[in-house]
Amino acid sequence: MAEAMQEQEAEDDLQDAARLQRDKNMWGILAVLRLFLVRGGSGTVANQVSFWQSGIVTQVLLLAFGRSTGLAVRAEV
Amino acid sequence: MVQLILFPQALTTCADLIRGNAISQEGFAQLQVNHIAEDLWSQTKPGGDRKVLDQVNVIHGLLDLTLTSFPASLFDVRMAASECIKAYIYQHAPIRLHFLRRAIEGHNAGVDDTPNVLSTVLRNQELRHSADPYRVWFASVIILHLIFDDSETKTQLMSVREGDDSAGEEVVTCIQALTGALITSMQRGDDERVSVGYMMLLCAWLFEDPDAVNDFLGEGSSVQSLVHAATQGGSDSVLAHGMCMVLLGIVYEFSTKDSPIPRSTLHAMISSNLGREKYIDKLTKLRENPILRDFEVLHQGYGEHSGGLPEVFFDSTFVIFLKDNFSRLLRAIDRDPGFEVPVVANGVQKGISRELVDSLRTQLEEKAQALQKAENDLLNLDRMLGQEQADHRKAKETANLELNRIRAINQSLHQNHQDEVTRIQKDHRAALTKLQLENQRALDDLQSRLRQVQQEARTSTEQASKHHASQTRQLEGSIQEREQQLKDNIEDYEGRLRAADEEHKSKMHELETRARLAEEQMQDAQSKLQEALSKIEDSRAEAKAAKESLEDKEKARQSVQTELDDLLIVLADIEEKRANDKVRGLRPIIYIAHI
Repeated sequence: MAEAMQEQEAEDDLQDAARLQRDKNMWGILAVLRLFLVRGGSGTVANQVSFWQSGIVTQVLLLAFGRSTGLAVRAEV
Repeated sequence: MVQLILFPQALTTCADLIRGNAISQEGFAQLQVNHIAEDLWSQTKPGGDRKVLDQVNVIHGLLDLTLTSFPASLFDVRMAASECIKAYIYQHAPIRLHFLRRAIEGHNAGVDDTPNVLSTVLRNQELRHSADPYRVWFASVIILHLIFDDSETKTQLMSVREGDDSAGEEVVTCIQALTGALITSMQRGDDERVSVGYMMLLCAWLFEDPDAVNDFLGEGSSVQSLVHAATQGGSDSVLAHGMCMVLLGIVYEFSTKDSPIPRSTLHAMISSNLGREKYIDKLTKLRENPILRDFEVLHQGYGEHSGGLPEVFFDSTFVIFLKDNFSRLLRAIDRDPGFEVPVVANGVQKGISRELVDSLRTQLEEKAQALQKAENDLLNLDRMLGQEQADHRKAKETANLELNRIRAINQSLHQNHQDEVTRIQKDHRAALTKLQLENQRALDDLQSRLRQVQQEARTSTEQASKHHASQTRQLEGSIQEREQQLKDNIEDYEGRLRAADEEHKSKMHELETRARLAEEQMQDAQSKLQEALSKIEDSRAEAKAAKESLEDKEKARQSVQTELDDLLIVLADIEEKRANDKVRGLRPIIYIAHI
């Protein structure tokens, strides 16, 4: 995912379709991630700890607040 | 239209990643992100261009996203951002406290650039954002999550005050300010979502919190306004009206006899102005509304089909809370005003039994009266004590004066006495000396006189004694003479006597013989006898003459003897006199010859 993030940062002028696909893929990754973090799930706490230690939270946050996401907005509007 | 799906998804994932995990939550807040809200905002405006993004704290960024009045299409972003914030504060009391404190500080400071949940709900009067109901809604929900089941943050928030006293504004509590904002928004006809947002917060806050309820009731018109708002307006405000009932129910349920509006008054107000039936009806309608009833299955976000605002009215935490306590709220209106519910929050009983409170009150009253009386008595006693002390002081002063005066007198008397004594002693000594001298003189005088007298006496005694001595000698001489004479006479006489005796005797013998002879011759010579007798008679006459001469001698002797006796007496007298003289200091030495 980190690699994907870096890619995002680098390629500003990628074509919309590709970008969209990539976004959908990202969305999928996040959905999978969320499966590990179901509220009240038995492994959730342990998973949270692991994810935090691996620094994924930062990655996801950067993704969320990344410029390219904003580009998507502009594209939409 | 391409849905913006990634941003919300990423944010939601973040929320899932950190929710309830203290380390993640604490670490999360340290992260910096692009200040994308600003960028997004400008992009939504026509002609808006991309800004250079600066970095902000993630929480700041999230709050900005949540509270910025983006178009409805960006609702999911806002929703996800609020989820993130909720996850950040989920079950972490210190973080919640910190967040709230920051919000309060920011709100009180009045700084406008940082997004502030408190300012958002309390200062909704600005029309700038009035088209976006979700500003207030999101802010209310976040605050709800801050205080839900957290007594510390509740207490913090309850102490916030609104209104500038120095500017002449009325100072009200946070709850009262919220209620005021709620009433205003309802009266103004704001979107239902605003009032629902406010009421969710108030309901969650006031539930099982008598202090909060009393705070709410501190503003007298609130209840009336609520009732009024609920009874006015059309049937399209089911949710808002229902929420009014929920709030009213909670307020009544946890009111007490000691509330600013007493429970009984409240009951009367609600019964008369609203009525039991309406209350139950509106509550039921709320519960049955699909938005609430089917909340769990409905997507809380921007629906594809809707052109207006999203069908999002409630927060999930609130829904769970409401559904759990719904039946109780239904029954609330039927609870007798005299019956108050005990409330246990955090293991501490918040309310107390009415009887206990009332009995304690009466006790307190009695105690207060007793105290008053005791204080009055104390005042009296103090006064009396003051009096006594003043009198005592006065008495002491007079006594002191008196004492000093007497001391002075005593001192002077003493001094006088001393002088007196000294003087007297001096006089005495002088007199004594004088007397002693006199005495001495007199004594000497007397002694010399005595010596003189003694001398005279001695001389006179000597003379007398000499005289006596000579006399005595004379007498002694004469006596001796006489004695001698006497002796001679006596001897003489004795001789004579003897001679006479012998003569006599011889004569006698002779006589006897003669007698005998006579006798013998008596016979023979009676004649002779007669002769003899005549001779006897002659001798008798001779004897008689001898006796007479003896008697004469005897007399002479006796006269001499008497003379001697007289002399002896004289001598004795002289002796006595001598003795007396001897006693008088003279020591004559006289020998008296014993005769």
